[in-house]
Amino acid sequence: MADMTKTMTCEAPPEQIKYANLLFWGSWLGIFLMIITYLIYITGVLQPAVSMQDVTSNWTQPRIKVTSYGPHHEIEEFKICGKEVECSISDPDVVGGVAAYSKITNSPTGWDWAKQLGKGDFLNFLPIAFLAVLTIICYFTLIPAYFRCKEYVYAGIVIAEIIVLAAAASGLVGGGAH
Amino acid sequence: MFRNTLEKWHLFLVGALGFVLASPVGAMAQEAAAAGAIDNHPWWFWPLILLFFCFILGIVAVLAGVGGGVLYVPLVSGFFPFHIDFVRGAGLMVALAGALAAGPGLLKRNMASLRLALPMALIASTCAIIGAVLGLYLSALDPRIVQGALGATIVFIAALLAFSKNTERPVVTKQDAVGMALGIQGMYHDAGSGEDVPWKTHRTLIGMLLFIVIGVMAGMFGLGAGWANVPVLNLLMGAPLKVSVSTSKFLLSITDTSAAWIYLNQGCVIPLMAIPSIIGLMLGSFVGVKLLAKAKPKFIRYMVIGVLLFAGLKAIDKALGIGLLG
Repeated sequence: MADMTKTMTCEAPPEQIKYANLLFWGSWLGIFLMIITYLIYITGVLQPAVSMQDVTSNWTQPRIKVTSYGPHHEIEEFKICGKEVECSISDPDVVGGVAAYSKITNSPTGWDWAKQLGKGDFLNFLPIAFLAVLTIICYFTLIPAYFRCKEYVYAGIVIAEIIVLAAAASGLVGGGAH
Repeated sequence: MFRNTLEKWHLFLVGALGFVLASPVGAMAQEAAAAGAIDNHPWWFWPLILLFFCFILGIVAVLAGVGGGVLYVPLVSGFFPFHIDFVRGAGLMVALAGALAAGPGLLKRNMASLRLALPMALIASTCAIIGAVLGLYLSALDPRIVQGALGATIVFIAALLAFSKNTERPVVTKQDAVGMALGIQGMYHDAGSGEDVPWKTHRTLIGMLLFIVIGVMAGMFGLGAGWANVPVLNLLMGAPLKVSVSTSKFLLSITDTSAAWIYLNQGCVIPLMAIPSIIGLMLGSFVGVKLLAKAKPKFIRYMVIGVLLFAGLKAIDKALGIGLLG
């Protein structure tokens, strides 16, 4: 059972303060970097991998008709619906949404964006990924604190959460890894 | 009271939201989306509109006491031409950025409790991954499935906001075994009354089970789940309202992180639309916090409930292809 005296005070526990400080600096750094990289992108300082016109013309209803599948049922060849071929929504070979957008614009999935950081659009993923990894970093600061206080259940919860978030980030869940 | 509502800023807010919702922008977006037409606007048109729209949304969200994500996803998917996959990806990033920015202050003041948040976060974030994968799968099958389910959820949220009554300090006479084993209790200083308020939880296990549902819904629809977190923490588990609201906001930073990674890895986050949304909403939130002292939140709250109800019904209408709401 947890030590009651540790929690019955108006002061936030030290591990909570440490977490808060890291979160504060991290989140504002991420948001600041987000603004900078976006300005680099839209001012054209770095050329984007996918032109803005291609992005805007495909973010509404991207759809493709798959004409050839690979050995693991991955899309090998396709035609763009409405442009190269007329498609019916009931056709099982017609793919829509983000999967079609990625194929049409040749955008990477998983962590493949990291290979294209020199491009204006993919540079924006750096602060986005940083914000999405910040909680994992903050969680690491809690492990020694909970072990020191012999709060083994909370240490276990923290470790389990790191594993869950790392699994999500890895791209292994949801088929995003490449 | 009526005269007060006609104050300058109030008019601006209502007018701006009304403009964004009812203007040709909304109509053009729907038209483009419905026809699958090629968008002839210059590339900067939609990001600029989004920035303005999310700025207003940020103000309204703070005044209405809801998270930005719950307004963003139904309104942007209903009135802008983006595919729902990208709206959900951006919605999660919007909710995540807001929660990350708000978390430190709440944790330092001991209003958000790590002891209360960590067990719930583990359940919700795990289930948010399942929800995100399921949502993307269903959307690949037919986006109307997600659109319809989102609409039903939003209508439910509007009803929840309209009818649920929070309890400032619920009475917890006996802490349950799970809450006691995890040491889920604490104390905060209520600046309003000048009191130190101790708190503990009951029905912890049922609360944990409900976080399974909350996580799945957060991941599936790209919504911040504050609307669901607060009633569970406050009404069910007996945490004081201030602790529930603050812990819920902090919880979102963890729940949304796991779902955001799934959407990010699938390519659902398009920076051109996601970043103006995040920046606009955060700037709007700052203005909203400043306006909060002078605001009549009740009026804004009812307006938001009305807008959510409309957005939810519109999503259902769109999913079923009835065409009653345009």
